[in-house]
Amino acid sequence: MGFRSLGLLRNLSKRKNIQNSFVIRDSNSPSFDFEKIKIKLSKKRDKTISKFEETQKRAGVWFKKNDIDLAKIRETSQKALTGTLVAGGLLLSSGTANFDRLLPKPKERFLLLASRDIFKDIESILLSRISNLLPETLRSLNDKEEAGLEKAVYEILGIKAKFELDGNRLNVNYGIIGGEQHLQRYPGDYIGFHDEFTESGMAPNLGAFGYFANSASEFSSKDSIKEKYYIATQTFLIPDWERRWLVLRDWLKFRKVLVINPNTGQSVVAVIGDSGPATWTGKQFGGSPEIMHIIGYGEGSRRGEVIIMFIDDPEDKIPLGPIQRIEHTSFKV
Amino acid sequence: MRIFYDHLIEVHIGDLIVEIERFKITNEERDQLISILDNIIHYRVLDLILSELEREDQELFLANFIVAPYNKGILRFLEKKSPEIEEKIDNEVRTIKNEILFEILLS
Repeated sequence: MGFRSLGLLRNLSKRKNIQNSFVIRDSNSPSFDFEKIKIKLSKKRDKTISKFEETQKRAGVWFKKNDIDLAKIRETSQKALTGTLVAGGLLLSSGTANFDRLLPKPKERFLLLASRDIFKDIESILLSRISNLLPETLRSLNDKEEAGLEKAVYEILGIKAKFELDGNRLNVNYGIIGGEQHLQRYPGDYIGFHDEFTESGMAPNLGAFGYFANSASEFSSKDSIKEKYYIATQTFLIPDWERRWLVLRDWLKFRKVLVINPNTGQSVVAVIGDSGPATWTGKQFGGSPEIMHIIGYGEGSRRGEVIIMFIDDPEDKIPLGPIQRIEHTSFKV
Repeated sequence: MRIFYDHLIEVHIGDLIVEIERFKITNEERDQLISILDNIIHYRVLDLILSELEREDQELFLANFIVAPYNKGILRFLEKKSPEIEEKIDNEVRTIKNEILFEILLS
């Protein structure tokens, strides 16, 4: 690449929209006329839509009646999760309902309401126990505080959670967590395939531990759940990291942890999926969009205090996700 | 947001994205192409599904799809009505993938 091109590149990179996203087209990459391809595929799409509207007229009417733009179905509002009444009283369901139970006789109508209630008693109990154990200011916990918290978590949640496991500790266990983006789960992953909170976007670079699966064909629901409930920790600040990083890296990769909001008792089982944030941010941990939502930091500044503990679960029995969550449905005819 | 049949199309879309990324386009350009591909697959799969269903079942499918497109229960319902629906969707998406790869290679 010549000096002139480098100069142009520098000028272009100053533009906010393409900063960090511009890739050099050099003479070694295969030729690709983007605009030509885009026009071709757009025509194919338009043709596909026209054919659909012709062969599936009734469906087209349905979508129009419900103000649904099929092309934007992936961005459908989260309100769909709570179940909303469709004009005409037709069958509704939530993602958690047993669809087989809902198959009605042709003329019958059911209204299904799904609600997701957090079992608040457990959170309150945990909160009342740990409130007395925490220091008044945000600082590293001492031995007595750690022992007290480990005992409280075991007695209330039934989870063996430790601040030190297999001789390993994090650099900090009581600090500030901030919101992170989704991570790429496999080569070719796309933000549209992520379940929720797609508005948080996907990190342009891979997480510190790479992909969650080697390929899309190997990608499993387990991998999906790990990315959903991941946190970032400052692995590079762990004591002895420089000497033991090879061993520590493998030990920390997708290590199961308990994340607790010490102000509300909201808790979630997560995995360590990335390294960070940078020390200059003033934060010690990062949380996936789902994690931040579950522990009550999904809105506003998207940051707050957390306690992080390793979970001692050698048989991998404790599922990832929010603690003590009850979902129920009720029928009204 | 996920759609109930995403697990059937992810591999093929992944293949297409890997192919597109060989050409070193910007992230913005890549996202634009992925959006178009998603739309094409979306309409073709829905067309296929609706063609497999009786009228009454189409209503049921559409009602649930509109409210919760991610609902895996929809797939269980479709399997009752058309036992080989997953294979049919997979074949359709495979066909679309090959069509698009051909278009890209010809350009």
